[in-house]
Amino acid sequence: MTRKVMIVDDNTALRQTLQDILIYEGYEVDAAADGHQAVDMAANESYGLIFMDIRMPGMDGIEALGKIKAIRPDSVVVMITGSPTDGSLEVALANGAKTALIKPFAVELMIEILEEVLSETASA
Amino acid sequence: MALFIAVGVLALVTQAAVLRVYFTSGNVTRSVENRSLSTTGLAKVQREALLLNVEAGKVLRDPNYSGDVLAFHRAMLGDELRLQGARFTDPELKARLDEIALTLVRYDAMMAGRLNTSAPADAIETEGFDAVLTDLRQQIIMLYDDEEQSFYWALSQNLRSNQKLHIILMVLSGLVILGGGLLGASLRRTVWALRDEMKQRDKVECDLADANEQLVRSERLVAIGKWSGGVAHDLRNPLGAIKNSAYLLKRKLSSDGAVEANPKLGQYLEIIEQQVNRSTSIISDLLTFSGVAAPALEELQVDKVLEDSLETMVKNDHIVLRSKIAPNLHSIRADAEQLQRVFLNLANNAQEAMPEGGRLDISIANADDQVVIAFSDTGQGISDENIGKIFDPLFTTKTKGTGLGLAVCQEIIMRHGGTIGACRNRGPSGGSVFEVRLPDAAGTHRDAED
Repeated sequence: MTRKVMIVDDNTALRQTLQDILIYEGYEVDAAADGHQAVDMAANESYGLIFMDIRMPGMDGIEALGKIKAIRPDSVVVMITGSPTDGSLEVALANGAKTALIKPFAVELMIEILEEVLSETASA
Repeated sequence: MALFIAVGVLALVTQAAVLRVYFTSGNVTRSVENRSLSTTGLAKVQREALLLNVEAGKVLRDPNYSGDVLAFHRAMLGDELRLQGARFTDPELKARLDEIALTLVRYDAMMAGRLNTSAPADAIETEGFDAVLTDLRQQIIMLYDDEEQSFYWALSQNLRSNQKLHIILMVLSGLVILGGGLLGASLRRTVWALRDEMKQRDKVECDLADANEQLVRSERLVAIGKWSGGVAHDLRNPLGAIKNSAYLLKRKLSSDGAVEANPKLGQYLEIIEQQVNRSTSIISDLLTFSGVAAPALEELQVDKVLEDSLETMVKNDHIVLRSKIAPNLHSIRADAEQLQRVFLNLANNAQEAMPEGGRLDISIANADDQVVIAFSDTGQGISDENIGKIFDPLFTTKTKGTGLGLAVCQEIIMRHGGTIGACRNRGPSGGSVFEVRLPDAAGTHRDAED
């Protein structure tokens, strides 16, 4: 089972700090700055979990979610969003997102979700 | 001893007489009745003017909007004005009503033209409407003020010209000097009763129905709501990055032993985390504010909602909380959760106004086809300068406030077809009174059927 994780967010500071944190915590982490990049990367490699921002320029998180799910139906995607009330979260969850983190979130919560997903897929 | 008893009995009789004279002497009684009738009527006039404003805005913005509701409120406003007109005898008030009627004719002509086109309103047209509507608003406010003044004038004239009342007061004063103690107490009770009556009147005087200002605020609320929602979203990314960086720093510095060697570093990191969390909670407030939803109305009892709100309140032990619930309260149609938010906000504000302790009196009573909920505190009160601004979004006198609490309250109450207002408590203990008026369930039904 891969402990490889992808972080997708157009905000550089957020993306880098999240990447550093997860590397520090012992995961292998790739990062993408928008939906196109994320879909390309997911097509080439299997990730244990993808953290996906919703609002991004170019291809947004919901579209990328749909494309990734079409390529690899068993991908686990957790949305990260700063707009929990604009309705996009409901759309993402209906389109197969596992759950969501509302920015700014506690890193501990992110790791908890990550561990839970990885242990679920490991035992499956 | 017999003399004292006799004086006492006389005092009670005289007290009753004074009260009767006070309340039944011709003009005053009529004025009081007229005034309470017209106050309700004027509140209706203001409400219709407000709805007219709102609907006119919709028609101007959207050429496809039918304008039926507009026509309805226009007709209601006309009816209310005619009803009020029948009651006024004062030539000045009559003249004011005529001016309003004229403005309405101008307004009608403009609106008829507008409803016949399918083109969006241009800037000049919108400006023209705004001018007429502002004029209308001003005239209604002036009508209200004039009517207030004429009432007080009638009252003072009446007291001055009422010989009987004058003589009785003289006799009473004489008896107080002669009789002392018992009679003094009795007279004081009389004065208290009169003062209570005046207090009741002052309460009516609270400016509850300034519907037009509410409209302006409501528009500002919408703008600020949109703006704050956007800002809140934009702040989430940078806050997230700060939070993550603090986490990373903490982990790295801890593992290097740097925090142990220099505990101050740990404290600084704590401060960053705490303050990011505080910022996050402000953002949540802003987002809640930008999304005051349409109320989910159900028939309910206000006292039950109040009870539920007070249960969730963190009470200050130095504050005495008293509630006075009138029997047989009308039920209302409201969103329990939203009302709870309003009550909790008002109760918390009252508590915060009394950091050294004091008394919070909450009363609920029926008033015609409304239910009135009043929060009266003995705190520092609101200055004249601020009393007109407290419902403005982003206005706050608190060091830790966002200035959204009362603005949200007003927005919620308005969406329930009610009014909220504040005035200074005129009693000796000072403080503020916040009064919420909500239409009763029967009234809401009536409106829906109309």
